[in-house]
Amino acid sequence: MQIVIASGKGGTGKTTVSSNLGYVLSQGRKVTLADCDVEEPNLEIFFPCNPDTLDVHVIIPAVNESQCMHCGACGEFCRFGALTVLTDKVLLFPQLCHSCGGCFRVCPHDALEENPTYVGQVQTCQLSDSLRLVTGRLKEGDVRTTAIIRKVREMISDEPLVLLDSPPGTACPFIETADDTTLCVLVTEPTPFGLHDLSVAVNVLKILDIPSVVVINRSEGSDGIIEDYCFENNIPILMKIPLDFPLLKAQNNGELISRKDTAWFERFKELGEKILDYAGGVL
Amino acid sequence: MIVCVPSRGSTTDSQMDDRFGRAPYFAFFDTATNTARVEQNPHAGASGGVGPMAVQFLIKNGVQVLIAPRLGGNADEALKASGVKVIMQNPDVTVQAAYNAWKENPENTS
Repeated sequence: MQIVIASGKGGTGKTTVSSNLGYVLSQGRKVTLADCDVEEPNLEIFFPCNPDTLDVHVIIPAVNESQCMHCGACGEFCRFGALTVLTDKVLLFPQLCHSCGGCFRVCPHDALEENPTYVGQVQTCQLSDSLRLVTGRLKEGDVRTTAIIRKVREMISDEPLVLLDSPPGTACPFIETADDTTLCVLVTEPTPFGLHDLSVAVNVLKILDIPSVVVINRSEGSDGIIEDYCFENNIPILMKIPLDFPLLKAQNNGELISRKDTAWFERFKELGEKILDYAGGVL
Repeated sequence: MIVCVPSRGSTTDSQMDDRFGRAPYFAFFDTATNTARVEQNPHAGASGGVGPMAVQFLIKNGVQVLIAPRLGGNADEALKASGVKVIMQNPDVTVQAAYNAWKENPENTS
């Protein structure tokens, strides 16, 4: 079972929810936490460890100029502009390449060679008997986020229960993280920005055919705009996290509130059980 | 010699476009025959990499001089490698006026 924790808007509390859920749910069952926010992974702040590291490479083309006839087939094919064929040479823009492999197929002169290029790492830690952390980490300055997310997902595909911490936004990295998961937990905040990005995420999830549930963070008791939206769209609100300064302080010190405070442990346990019921089709 | 100017519209009386790779049209002037034609930029709406794709389109059309207001990094790199001469031009003129200005003073590579 794969459950993605996402938000649309950044900074709403995805990592707060996923780190605490992972910890609480692992008291009694095997859980894998997957940090798919590969541009800025931060789950390990709450779970310091010495990880095993695996390098991730993507295949990009390298032009063998002695074979190349500058026919232009690869440049015409590449919709990302990564290959520009001039009259006497071919220019490659590696950062524009999406590693689709199309250029290798269309080259009639066998002039392209496969060039594995380092784009980042996947780090794995066994934190306890029942809790494992898998972190994707994109090479600084690189843009090929989905290659790392794909590798993370490949490595956790056989795990019984996975919580995926999604990158913010609703574009390719989010879709790569959420596609084919069982349920999406959307963490939002009761602000117009929170609502706007929540609604964009909900619409994307509808297209992906993934059911969503909502957690309202920084709830101050007047969450009307989120409640109205969720009511109209038939999306259950499973938890409200108050604007709680002891919680924020613990977070900022890199402490896990549910490990420190039994009341918070119980709250996240209740949330975890509800999520598993929704994901399992009980509710 | 073929001279290219990015254009907002489909005629040489159109305003010059202030972008290169995302310009909707390219005007091609032939100095030998004193004729012009305007072609749609096939990559104007692509998601990315439009600069290098536009350079490739220019090369296919035999361009030797490009009159443009500003260029992105990838387009600049591709143009330098291609040998196309780039003339910088403020875009607040028509395509025809930009070409005429170049013709009067072809060495003005600001």
